[in-house]
Amino acid sequence: MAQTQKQTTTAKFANTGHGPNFSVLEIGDPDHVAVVEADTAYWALVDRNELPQALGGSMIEDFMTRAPEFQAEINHLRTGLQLSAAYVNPTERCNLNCSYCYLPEEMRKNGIDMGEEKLMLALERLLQHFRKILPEGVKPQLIFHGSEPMVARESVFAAISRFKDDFNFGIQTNATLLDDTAISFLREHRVGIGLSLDAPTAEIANRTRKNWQGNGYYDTVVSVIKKLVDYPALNVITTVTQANVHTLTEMVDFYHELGVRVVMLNPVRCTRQGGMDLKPDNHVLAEAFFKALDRSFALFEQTGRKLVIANFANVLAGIIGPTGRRLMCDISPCGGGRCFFAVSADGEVVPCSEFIGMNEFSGGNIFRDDPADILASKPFQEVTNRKVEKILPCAGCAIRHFCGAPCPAEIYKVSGDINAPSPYCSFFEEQVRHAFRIISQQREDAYLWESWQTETEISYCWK
Amino acid sequence: MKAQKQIISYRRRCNLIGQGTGLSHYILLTPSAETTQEGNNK
Repeated sequence: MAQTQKQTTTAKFANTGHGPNFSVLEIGDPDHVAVVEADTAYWALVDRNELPQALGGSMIEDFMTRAPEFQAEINHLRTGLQLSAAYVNPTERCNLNCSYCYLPEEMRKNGIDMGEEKLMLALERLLQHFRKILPEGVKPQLIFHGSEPMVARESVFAAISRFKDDFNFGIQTNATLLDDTAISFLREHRVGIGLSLDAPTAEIANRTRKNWQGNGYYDTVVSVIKKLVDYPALNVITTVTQANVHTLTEMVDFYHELGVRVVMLNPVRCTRQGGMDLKPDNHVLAEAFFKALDRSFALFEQTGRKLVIANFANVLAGIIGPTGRRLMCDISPCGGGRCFFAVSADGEVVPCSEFIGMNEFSGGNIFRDDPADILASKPFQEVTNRKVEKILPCAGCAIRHFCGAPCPAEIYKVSGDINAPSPYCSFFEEQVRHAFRIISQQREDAYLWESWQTETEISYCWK
Repeated sequence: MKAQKQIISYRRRCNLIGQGTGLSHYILLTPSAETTQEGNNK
């Protein structure tokens, strides 16, 4: 009986019996195809002429030995993480009226401020919760987000001063209100700063990012970037739309010349009509995005100085080391409502900033409810239980744990159901193929952030 | 059996995930030097 059991559980081949389910992906590389075991996010790049051996050779045995460890790692990533960050909107108001903003216009135009007293109370309540759940000595992240947080500058700076030893702070701002005093304050308090700029020229950048009178702020934002370019905690977001998708390569040149080190080229979220109207075609986006990546590599080769395109770097990181990722959009469940949540100016707590303004996804109010109860609330559970296995075609997709089918808020607005695929599905497919091509060329280090090697360690390597 | 010389397969692991390494949505949280130092000392 024991002998029979041993025979039935020994796998020699993929895709039959007890063998692993290895999907074969054409990645457009002249030498390699990818072999992926989707549940464990295992991958191997195999000589395309030797694929039969890979599906029935020692690679199977090697995988089977390590599969439980890989599976445990993915399970931890998907269900075992604690809340470690909170986004706080100190005001509903914004001095700009960008075409694709995911927040309701009325809120941005005439909304409320949280006020200093309530902001302090919110942070105190968040801190109490983080102290219960995080290991001693680990600071939670607290990101002031918008609308435009600098509209509530006095409250924000007072909160940073008071809680400077308790949180690692960040601020995502349109940069238009960052004067020299503000910049000095943020530098002194080591606040992470995210700025937004959409194009290398004023003409294009000001089309989508403008104030209520229609005037853009390209010159101001570039001036602020120049002042902060030596600051290690600076990153710049470019929202990619139909208006600027053809400028991405020039954008890379522009950022690199300025000396910027980390940018994100984020496809516009279709969370509101403005974003939907500006969504670039997936094929056009993929082509422009990969050219921009190629340009960043060429510049690195020429100068030895990296411009990390962080949203792509995260996809690459998610393939090479699933737990080494920093962004939690491209894994399911996403990070919303489990790794972070967002607090709106009236105290309502939603799984992610993308859900602000969608009252049906509020899990409670930070001034009234215990964060633990908010995390366990039904609206949060709906998001934290959103898994690719429940979504078609994602359930059968080999790259489901390299993509994650983001973003639930966007998809809810587009489809009326969070358990649906992304409007960017075909772009995300191509993005993963591109990442595999880069691994095949052994160029991945050129695309990853500088601290990647020290943040992670090799846990498996085919020999 | 023919040797599998043309296989590239590896995996890296981060033991500090969620412990101040910065997990976010579309905004990259850049850990401060202080955080990185703390993390590396763990």
